[in-house]
Amino acid sequence: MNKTANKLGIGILVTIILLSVPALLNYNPFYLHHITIIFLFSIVVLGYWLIHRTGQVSFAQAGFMMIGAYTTAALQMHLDFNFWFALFLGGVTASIIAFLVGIPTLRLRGAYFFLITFALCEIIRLFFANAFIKTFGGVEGIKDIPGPGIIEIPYIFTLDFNKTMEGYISYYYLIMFFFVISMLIMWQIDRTRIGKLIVGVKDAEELSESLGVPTMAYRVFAFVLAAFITGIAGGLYAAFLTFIDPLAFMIVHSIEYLSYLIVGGPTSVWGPLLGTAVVETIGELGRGLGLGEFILSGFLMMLVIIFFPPGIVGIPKVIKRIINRRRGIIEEEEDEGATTA
Amino acid sequence: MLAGLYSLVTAGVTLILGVLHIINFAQGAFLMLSAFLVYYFGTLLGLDYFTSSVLAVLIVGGIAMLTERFIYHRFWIKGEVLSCLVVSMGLTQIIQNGALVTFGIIQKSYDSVFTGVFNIFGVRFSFERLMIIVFAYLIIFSLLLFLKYSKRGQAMRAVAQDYDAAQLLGINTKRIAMLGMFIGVGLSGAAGAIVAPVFSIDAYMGEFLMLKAFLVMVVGGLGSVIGVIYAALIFGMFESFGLMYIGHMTNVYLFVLVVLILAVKPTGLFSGTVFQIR
Repeated sequence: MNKTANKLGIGILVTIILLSVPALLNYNPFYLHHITIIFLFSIVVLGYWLIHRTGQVSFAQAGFMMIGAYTTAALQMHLDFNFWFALFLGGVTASIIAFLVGIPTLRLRGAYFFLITFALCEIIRLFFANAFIKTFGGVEGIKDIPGPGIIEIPYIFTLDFNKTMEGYISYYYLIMFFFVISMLIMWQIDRTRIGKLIVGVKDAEELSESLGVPTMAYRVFAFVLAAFITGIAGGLYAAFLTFIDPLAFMIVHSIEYLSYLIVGGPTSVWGPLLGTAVVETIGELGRGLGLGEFILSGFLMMLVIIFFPPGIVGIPKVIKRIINRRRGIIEEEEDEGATTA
Repeated sequence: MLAGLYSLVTAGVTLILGVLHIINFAQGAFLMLSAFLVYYFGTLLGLDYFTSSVLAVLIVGGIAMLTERFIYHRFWIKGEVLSCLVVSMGLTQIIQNGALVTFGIIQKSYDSVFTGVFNIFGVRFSFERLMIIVFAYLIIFSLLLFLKYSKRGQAMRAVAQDYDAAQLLGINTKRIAMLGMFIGVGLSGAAGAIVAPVFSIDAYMGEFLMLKAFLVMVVGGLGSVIGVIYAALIFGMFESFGLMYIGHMTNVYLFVLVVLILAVKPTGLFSGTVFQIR
């Protein structure tokens, strides 16, 4: 009973903090933009995290984001679709592509998945840059992408996405909302049986297969769900920045998202958010670097994987272990089992 | 011409996959680096094309060997393929964008080495492109001979088959792994040196070739050098004619084709042929 009350309290606290962030930042558009981008990329990295959980690395995440962004933008601008419906369809399109590609490649062991997703990312980019130039704008991309307009719930809140300043705040709430939802989904997956089975698929594939776990189905499920989330994030990206072009979704970006995940630590659901926040903030501090940002992320990723594979989320554990060891030396005579347990 | 190029790049990736069981994504970056080195050796130091090519291949292979020794080794020895991938992606990121920052975003072009045009049955070929084909296949066939007959090559195949058994038989597996990395990346370096006079040199040139290399590898069957040569032939032809008749969408169709092949015959079209490394 006490535990549930605790959880409820933490939940309410987190909600209040998340809701009051714009006010805490004094409605500074620069910081708001930065935080919104962090949440947005965290959604993408969460998808990455799920794929990484199954023991794979996908290159195609930037490609799925691109599908989501272009679908959302093109459906709104050329067919006058509702924003929400277009956003949803963007996610669905990305997941359909993921399904079609995932079925033949995830069935196989070895490197096929990496190779094919690498090609997929580039192919998606080539497609949007060269096909249906009237619809997708070719190399120039699409500009002036409409957002969700005005959301109004009487007496409670109004989000106006059209104005500049209020738009920033509104987009913060919108993207934060989607982030929290995807976070909850991933958290549930991680906590429940599905998450355990997914880790089982990664660590002991033969064993889980012999126990009747459909390993391939789980891998495909993870890949498709990740693609869906990433597609949605892409749609939000398009609406938030109002401008997309093929150069914003290259393999370089896929690798950058992976570096967020690796730096944050792939073992916990919190890894994506922390990694994105840290790397993005470092990148923002060194804004003058320009392309140096990519070098930085690659460098950080290599450093982390070589010297500290657990990533940021692993830090508390290590500290705990160090403290335990210090205590353990003292307590060793009394109770030897305490440190191992 | 494209076929020769693709088989050269893909053979490098395949070799490393065969011997070390990892995929080195940084190959494309090394290819680009080699092309840039050839360019700068030519323009800044005034070396002739062949000297600078050999130097570029040696430098690039040397760097790769160092990365193998100090970074990759600790991961692939434990079978942590995922970490190897991450490392190679980080390496790609650093080299590629480092090149973009240091060498600039403007595309470089190296003066043609071979000039002249000749006719075969009324079809005009440039001499330069013929030389690419000749060099690419020369390198590939010497690689095949090396793997088949030389002592080192046999040792390399032994390591590829069974690491522990090879170690038991007194093969210096560490050295063989480094050699494999050197040759594998050296092949991409050679490809970079070969294309330097023909293509324009920019920081992202490797990525496009890597894309093709991966598709070729999947079609040819992972780990088979001969399969790679056949698959590269098919790809080169398809692309040359496709660009003429279909246009820019060729690559998209090509990708769909590869996924279909993968769905029907996952081991690739030419797996199980002779000279299989793995």
